[in-house]
Amino acid sequence: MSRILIAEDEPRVAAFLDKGLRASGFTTTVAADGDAALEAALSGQFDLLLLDLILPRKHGFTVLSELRGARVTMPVIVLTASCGIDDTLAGLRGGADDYMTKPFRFEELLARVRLRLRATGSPR
Amino acid sequence: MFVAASFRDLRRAELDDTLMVAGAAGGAALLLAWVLTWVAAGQVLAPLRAAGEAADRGRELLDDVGHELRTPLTVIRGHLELLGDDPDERRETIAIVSDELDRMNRMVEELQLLTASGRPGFLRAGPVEVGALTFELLAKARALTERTWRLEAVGSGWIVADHQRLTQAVMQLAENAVRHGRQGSSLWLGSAVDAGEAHLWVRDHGPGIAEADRRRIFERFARGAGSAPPDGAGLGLAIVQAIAEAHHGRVELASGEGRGARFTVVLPAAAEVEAGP
Repeated sequence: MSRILIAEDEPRVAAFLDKGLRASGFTTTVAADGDAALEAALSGQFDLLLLDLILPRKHGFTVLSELRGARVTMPVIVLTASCGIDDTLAGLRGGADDYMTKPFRFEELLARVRLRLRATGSPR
Repeated sequence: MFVAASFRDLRRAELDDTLMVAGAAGGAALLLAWVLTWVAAGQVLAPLRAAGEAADRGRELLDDVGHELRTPLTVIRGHLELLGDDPDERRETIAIVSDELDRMNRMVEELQLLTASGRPGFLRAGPVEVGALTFELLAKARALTERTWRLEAVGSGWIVADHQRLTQAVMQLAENAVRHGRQGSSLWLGSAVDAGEAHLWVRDHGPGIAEADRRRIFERFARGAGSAPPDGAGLGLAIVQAIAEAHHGRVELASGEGRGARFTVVLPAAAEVEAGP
């Protein structure tokens, strides 16, 4: 069973991600700010990170950069309310594996999560 | 021979004088042309530049609004997509969706207010006595919450203000103080009239506002780096500032990390107001 870290500060967004992913057979943990997300991601206990960009305490791009700087290679899917191409490129160049713009369809997110986990050979 | 030389000297002097006059006239004409071009360019380009800046501001506003509306849309879509058959879950989802729609509606209303704040007729100004207003604001703040509100000072004097808008601004500051003030601590409201200015303030004992955030928090949809997502649309302080500025006033912030925050609406006292906004 894959373990997914949800870095999202909007409680209601985190709530449905948590609910939907659990119902799909994943184990989930929610981190509500950038510091907590980075600490959890560095613990090595997760197979994939869903990362919101606008997080309190530490911006999502900073979390991503520090994570990659620490040679953590877990797949990261960035979730953001910004639809600008600059943000998309910055996220992908910064080490994100995928990028989804809010509002997204949960089924599509789920498909992308499974695809990334399959690519890394993590249990689904 | 002598006559010819004198004539030549005379002609050279005339020629030098002519050249000097022509040069001076040319320079003056160039200067005049430059000044006229400068003025004309200013008159023509200034409105164009202002129109361009207004268009940029409009685009920024649309970007901001689009960005902010995506969060409630994500919540609504996500919760509806995962809606099951359990009646309790359905009730909970309906409540969440309804709340998010209210949040979007509030955002639209507050944006309309912000847009209107720059237009004539935004304020219905009249004479307002600062002391009486302070007691009225204190009563309204106390009705907001169970928290203890204390009166810090009461000023005496008149301002020319839109009573309703000014109340709205101070109540917004009071709501922020309730949200960010340390649980169990008192909140403070006060006023003063001094040196031609009226001050109305709200103070809390919350975590305070970091130096880096002090200017930014007045921008629409802004929030402090360490703060949780806003309960409202993130437009509260932008509205307070817009209301203060419509009164020819300003908002001042005194804060330090861990030392709470004091927001003050500063307006000209009545003697300083020559014409209502």
